[in-house]
Amino acid sequence: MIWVLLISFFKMIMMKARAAKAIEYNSVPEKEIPADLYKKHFRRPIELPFFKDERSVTNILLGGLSSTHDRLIAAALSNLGLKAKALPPTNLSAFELGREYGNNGYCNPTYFTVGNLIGYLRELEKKGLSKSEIIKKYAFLTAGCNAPCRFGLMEIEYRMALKDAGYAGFRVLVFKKEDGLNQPVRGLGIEINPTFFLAIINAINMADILTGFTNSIRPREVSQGQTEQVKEEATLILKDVLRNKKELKLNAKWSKIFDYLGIKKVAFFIYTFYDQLTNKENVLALSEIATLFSKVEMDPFRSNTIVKITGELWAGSTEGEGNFSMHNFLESEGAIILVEPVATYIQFMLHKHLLRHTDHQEMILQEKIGHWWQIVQRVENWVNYKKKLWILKVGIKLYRREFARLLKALGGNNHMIIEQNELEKLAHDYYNTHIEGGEGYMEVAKNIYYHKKHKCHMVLSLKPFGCMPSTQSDGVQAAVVEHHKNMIFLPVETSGEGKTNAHNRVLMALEDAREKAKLELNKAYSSTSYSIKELKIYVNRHPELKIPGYCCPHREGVAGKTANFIYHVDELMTTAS
Amino acid sequence: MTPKNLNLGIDVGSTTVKAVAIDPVSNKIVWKDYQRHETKQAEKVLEFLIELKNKYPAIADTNYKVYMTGSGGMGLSSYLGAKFVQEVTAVCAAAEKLHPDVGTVIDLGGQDSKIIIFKEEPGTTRKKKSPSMNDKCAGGTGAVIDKISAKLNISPNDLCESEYDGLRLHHVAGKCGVFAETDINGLQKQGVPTNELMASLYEAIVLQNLTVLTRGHTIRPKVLLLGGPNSYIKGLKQAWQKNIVQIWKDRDYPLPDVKDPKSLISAPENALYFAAIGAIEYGLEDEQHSDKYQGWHELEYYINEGRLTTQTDAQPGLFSSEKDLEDFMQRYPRELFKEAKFKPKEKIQGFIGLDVGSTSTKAVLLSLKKEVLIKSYQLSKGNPIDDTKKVLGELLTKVEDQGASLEILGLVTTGYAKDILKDVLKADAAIVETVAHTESALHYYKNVDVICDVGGQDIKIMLLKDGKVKDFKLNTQCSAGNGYFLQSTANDFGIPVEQYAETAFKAIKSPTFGYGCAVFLQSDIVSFQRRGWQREEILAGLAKVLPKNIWLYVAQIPNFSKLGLNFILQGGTQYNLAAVKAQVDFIESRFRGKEEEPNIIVHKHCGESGAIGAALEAFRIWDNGRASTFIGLESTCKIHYSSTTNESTRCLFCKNKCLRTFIDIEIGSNGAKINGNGLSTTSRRFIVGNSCEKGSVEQVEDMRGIKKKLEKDLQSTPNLIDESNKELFKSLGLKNQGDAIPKWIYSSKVRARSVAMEARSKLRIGIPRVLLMYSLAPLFQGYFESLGIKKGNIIYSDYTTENLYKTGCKRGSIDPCYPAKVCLPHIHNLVYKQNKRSPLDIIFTPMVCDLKSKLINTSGNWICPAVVAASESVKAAFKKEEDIFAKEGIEYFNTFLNLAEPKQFEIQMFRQFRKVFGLSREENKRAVESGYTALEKYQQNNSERARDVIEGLEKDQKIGIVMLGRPYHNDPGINHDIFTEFQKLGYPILTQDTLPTDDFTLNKLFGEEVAAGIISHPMDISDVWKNSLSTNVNTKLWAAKFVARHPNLVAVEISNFKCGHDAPTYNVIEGIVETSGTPYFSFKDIDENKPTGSNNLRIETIDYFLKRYRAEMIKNSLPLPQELMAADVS
Repeated sequence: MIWVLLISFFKMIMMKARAAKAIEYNSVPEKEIPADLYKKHFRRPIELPFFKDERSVTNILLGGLSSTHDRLIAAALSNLGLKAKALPPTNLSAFELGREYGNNGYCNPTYFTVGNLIGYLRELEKKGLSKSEIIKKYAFLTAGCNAPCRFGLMEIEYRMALKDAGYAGFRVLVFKKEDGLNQPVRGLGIEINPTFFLAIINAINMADILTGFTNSIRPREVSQGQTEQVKEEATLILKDVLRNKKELKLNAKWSKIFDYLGIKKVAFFIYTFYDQLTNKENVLALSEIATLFSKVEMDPFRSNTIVKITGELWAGSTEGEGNFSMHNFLESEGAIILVEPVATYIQFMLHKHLLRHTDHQEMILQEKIGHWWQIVQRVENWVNYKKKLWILKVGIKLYRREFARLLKALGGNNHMIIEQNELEKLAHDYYNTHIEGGEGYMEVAKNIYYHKKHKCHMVLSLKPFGCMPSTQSDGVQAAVVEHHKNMIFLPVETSGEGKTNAHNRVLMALEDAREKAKLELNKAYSSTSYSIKELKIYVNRHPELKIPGYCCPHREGVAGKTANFIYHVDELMTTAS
Repeated sequence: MTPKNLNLGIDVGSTTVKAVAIDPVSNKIVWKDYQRHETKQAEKVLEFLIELKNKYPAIADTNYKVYMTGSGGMGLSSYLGAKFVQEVTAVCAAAEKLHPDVGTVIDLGGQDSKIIIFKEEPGTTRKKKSPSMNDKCAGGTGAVIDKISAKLNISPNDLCESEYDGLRLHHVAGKCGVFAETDINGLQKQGVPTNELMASLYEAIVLQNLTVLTRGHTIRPKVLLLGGPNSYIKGLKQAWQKNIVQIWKDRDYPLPDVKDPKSLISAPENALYFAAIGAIEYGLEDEQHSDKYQGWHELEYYINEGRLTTQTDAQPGLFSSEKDLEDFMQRYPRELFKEAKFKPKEKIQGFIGLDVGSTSTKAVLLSLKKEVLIKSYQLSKGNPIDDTKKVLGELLTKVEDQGASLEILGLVTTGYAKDILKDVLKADAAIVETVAHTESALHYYKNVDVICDVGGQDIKIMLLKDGKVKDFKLNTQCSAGNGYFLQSTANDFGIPVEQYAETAFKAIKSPTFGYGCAVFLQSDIVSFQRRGWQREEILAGLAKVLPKNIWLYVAQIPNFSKLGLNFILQGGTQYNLAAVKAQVDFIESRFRGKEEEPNIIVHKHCGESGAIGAALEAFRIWDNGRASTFIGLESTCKIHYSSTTNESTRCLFCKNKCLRTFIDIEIGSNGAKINGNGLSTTSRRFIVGNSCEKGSVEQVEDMRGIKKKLEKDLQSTPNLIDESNKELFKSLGLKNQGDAIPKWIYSSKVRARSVAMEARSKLRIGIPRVLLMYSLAPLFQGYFESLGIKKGNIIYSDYTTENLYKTGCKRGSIDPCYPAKVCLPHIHNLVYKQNKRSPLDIIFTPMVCDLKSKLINTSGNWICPAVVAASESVKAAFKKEEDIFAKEGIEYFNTFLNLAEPKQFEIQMFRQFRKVFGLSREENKRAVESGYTALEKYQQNNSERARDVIEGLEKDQKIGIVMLGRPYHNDPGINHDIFTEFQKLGYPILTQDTLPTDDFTLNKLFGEEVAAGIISHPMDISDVWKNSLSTNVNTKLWAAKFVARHPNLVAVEISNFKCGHDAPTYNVIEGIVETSGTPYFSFKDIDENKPTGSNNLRIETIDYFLKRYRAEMIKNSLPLPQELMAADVS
């Protein structure tokens, strides 16, 4: 059954890909057109293609996620024969450059990202490369989307800013998140195929898991800086694994047979997915990393306040000035941060497809039905509906399975990405889950989820200034907070300015969260018959409890790491005695 | 008795430092102080510590516990070994301790404002706190009061005693300090008294905080007003009391039994010190805190040396070397103007140009040879008539003091108050500033490509080609980059503006400011001072950011290569050589690495260029043989005027009921008779403060005459915005196409349906007149009417007005774009106005996710998520504390709809109304079809009307304006009547949605490109735009293409502040229109603030350009080809 679904899935996306390419090429004029007529009016810039034979001379630049994500994605793309390179982290100079060449209405991620890119290209110029060489030898690869928020328009903004900065024609290569293989990346320099997607997804998942893991241990490390040091080693290991992944090839004999049957491409796709589901290379790498981390000594009695960071994907996950260095600030204030994995967003995109599909159920089932006796048509409609439904459901399950096995390999207390069904149910009464754009219902849902499940003490929602969906979502949160006792939620709009004010506002909520965490911790201490000293002695005698990979069970109603740890040690000690 | 130990709380705010010392034994305040730190926070803290030490020399450092709070406390606490407590936490701790019955704290600081609402948590003794702080924006804070009171020259004592109660309020934007200042400027020019200005400002600040900071909560009694402004300013307290009591009344909020609810809102004792007291309270509770006060030695080190190391963002000063400075001074020497000398008894003939600007009034006397003879300048004192008398009197004195006499051959006015002064002085003409500045520059300099005029309030950039202006850029509402900001900063530092450059030139390095909003620059200044930057360095840094604000932020021209090489800098700001140096460096840097170098000239009369332009116009009029109508300088000096604003001046000619100001002018006093108005026969009355033409007269007959003329003028000029608005919301008169009520009740289901069907005719449905209703109302009107909902039972909320917004905005918790924000007041209007008139059963405010579009090859047809989700945040606001809809017996339907898929739309409507209407699928289908038919008919009518209008334009070789804006820009409350003003000037108005799409028109405009294969269809925009995701943006781009290809149409783009869909297309739309040589104009960043002055300047300038554009068009026009004429007829 699964194979039937997979084959249907591949066929579907391949057909879409062909259709999309046809549109793309037709819409950009390439045939002979009278030049005066063409130039008489404004035309959008022609996008230069990136051809296969340019792979060895063209550097593909990446940026926009955390540096771990960007570096791992670059490594994964190197495996596909691309010269990929992650841009340095963004800073305020990048923001200023971005604003200089953008217009007043762009959003924060655009200013930082394109400013960072322009800054990098200028550095190349300073090193002696001419503009034409840069345009020839460099390109920028980024994700795009068809959603109605600014994210869908960033690609154009990048191009306009690059043009104004003197890099007209610089290639911005875009793959759209929700289009699968339906990609209009011009030229064949980057082949958008399952191998490409799987490479990127694997890199993202590994970066998510590594970042989440290190975020949870860094504030409790005994020797300052040790976590970052091991994280660097871990990143290098993962880069190696991704870069050196063996190229998949069908067995020569079978290849001929499939070719003869005309299903060679489909067979290769299946083989690719089979390899993904069964290959343990990535899992083993993460297990190896877990061993590396075991040398980081933790003080499990430290840092009890947990801050969940939600909001817009880029603002929430970027590590530099793009969000006022909020991650560092919170950690410097003693909080443990839970940054949303990019994987949640990928799962959200898949779920939105599913949601749109189920919402259209009635329409699909009624298609071409004029009379009650059209039984064949009814069956055909039903099959069409169910086929896509199952494909999406299986896709989501497989994706979760991949993430889960990597997560398990590293160990620790990182939790699994949340089921979108659950988030959808939590949010719908407040924020209609069909609304498109940005993080949709997720901001509201995560706030309720983390509060109800006692997974954090406070939710900080970071979003770029003027973010359209996020702003309305915040309006809804006013009611959410009112309806949930003891919920601490703070939305903060980020831009290049107003860092002190933003930190101050965060501190305002954080003080409350600390108070909440403190009450919880006091309760934990008072619930145990052991003194703090006794608890500490026990922990010192059982050093495995201080290893980052140790999985401490989460107690119902308790969010704090230390509080949970005390309950757990109390149980261990009671059992032992 | 002298205490042995002390707990010290220090609150370091953005403008003041407050400190209290409490004896831990008696728990009493033994010392307190409150002082402005004038941006020297660390120094002031040190001063306080020394003061305290002097008072209690016997107490050792080890016996102190020090707690710090406030925005400046975070950075300083570590130098003292003090514990830092966040200020909201501190304020909460103090409020709960000192006033256990506290319900709300409203703390207004210099750049911060906070509202904390305390609610009892059921089952506990604790109170849940809902704190909220302003974000980085200083709008609605004490800084705005400071800035405006300084501008109005109000002494601190007068400010404290200023009133609110009983004063007339005017519209002032509270959202942004800069916008507020713009409004205050405008009102001041109209003669609005200072006390009313301040009262209006208090109202604006209170409303801004109530709208944004309460996050939709109801303020709970007892209310503590904290912070400097709340403690000291009487009027501000009154404004809080009035507005909060009104909210309690509106929401039937249960109050404690008190005589006067206002008594529940007060500034308590020690209101200034709550944060400092609370820091101690909170800090003491934290036993784990290990910080120990270590004396002030580290702080001292930090002040003297340490903070210099934090200056990581240093850039060079304005000059790299002494030689650089010398070169610059040689290149731009300050030429002092030498006034002309006159001989005794010499008769001087000349022309006067009078420029009444926002911050100053200037006059020049021009000779018959067009040379400037003398000048006069006056910083604005508030009333333009007084200022004018002063400058013109000075001109006269300068001549007469030399024994000469003066004959004025003509006088022309320009600037903000040009029109009223034209009337008062009987001037020969009043010309728009942009024109005056251009004429002046072209008079002195032959090769001009760019004129950059930076005045007190406005920035104007005129781009020229072959000596003619081809484009212009004006700042909209934002004054970032204007000269006044430099001037006020220098004043804050105690430096006269004349010494700005001299001071700034001393700086070897300077801090790097982020360019943009002036309010942010203000907060940067505070931050830089804290880090030890000296004032000369800050002034240099500020001068360096000025050109970035002008060219990148306001004009948005990063690429200078297209502009040309010859730049003229003018405007009063250019007297400041620091500004000139920065401008020169910036412009030259944009050409670096290119083959050509720019030629940058500072206008020789840079401060008076507008007045010179006006004088040149006076010369031109005289030269054309027209005799001057000017009343003369002597008469001007004898002008006496009185202004009256009271109930007797209120205009009753329309529902606006404007409270006008009558200015009665009397020139001299010759015992003239008294006429019917109670004025002498030599008096003339000028009426200001009226929002429309009808209010410009006093008698009904006169008003009728004006109205008649206005109507005639408007009727002769079509305005498709108004016409379609009239059609949109009216009844369609459709027949009931619903099913017959079942005769046989054979099941409970049928019974329920039957009951619902019977109730249909009585159901009253309220629909907010907002957003997409401005394009989709006929669809829903058709749907409901065809199901038997009576036409009178489909109720729309009122049109957006300032009053509607103010009345209904207080439940808001977010600050999105204005069109989305105004949804909440519209629902408020339905619930509290329409529902009270006659109860509503349903409020229908659909979330339309996408639309069907006529365009092809687009990637999507989405609607902006802020628009789609607006009804969700409105729902949250009305259901947050209690379910207001349930309480009022109204069902709130914010149905999610996919209009891009008619079948899905049909299903979605059926799901929503099946039960409530007792709908069958078939009648739902019929109703949807009726709705679509109504919508298509409406669109078709618009399109046909537009085609007629365009044909008329072609025939008469006239110009029509196409509004490139979203459907909700048809809302007069959103578009601020900008297009009605154009209509009054005789320009027919079309909209992007009404443009005709018939084959003939499309073929005429796009046929050639389709045939050549550039586009696949006339409705294809893929040649100009790639990610065509947004329906309205796609239509806008297509409409821009349409305008670009039609000789009789020009584009005026309109867009709102924070519009995420429009922003990426700004340059593209401009590019599409201008590449074809068609003029493009825009009104961007539109918000709830209506900047009438700035809009008028823009409209008048556009009118000037369009007149010339039309003249050029007629000159170059060729008769229409015969085949096209024939095709048209066929």
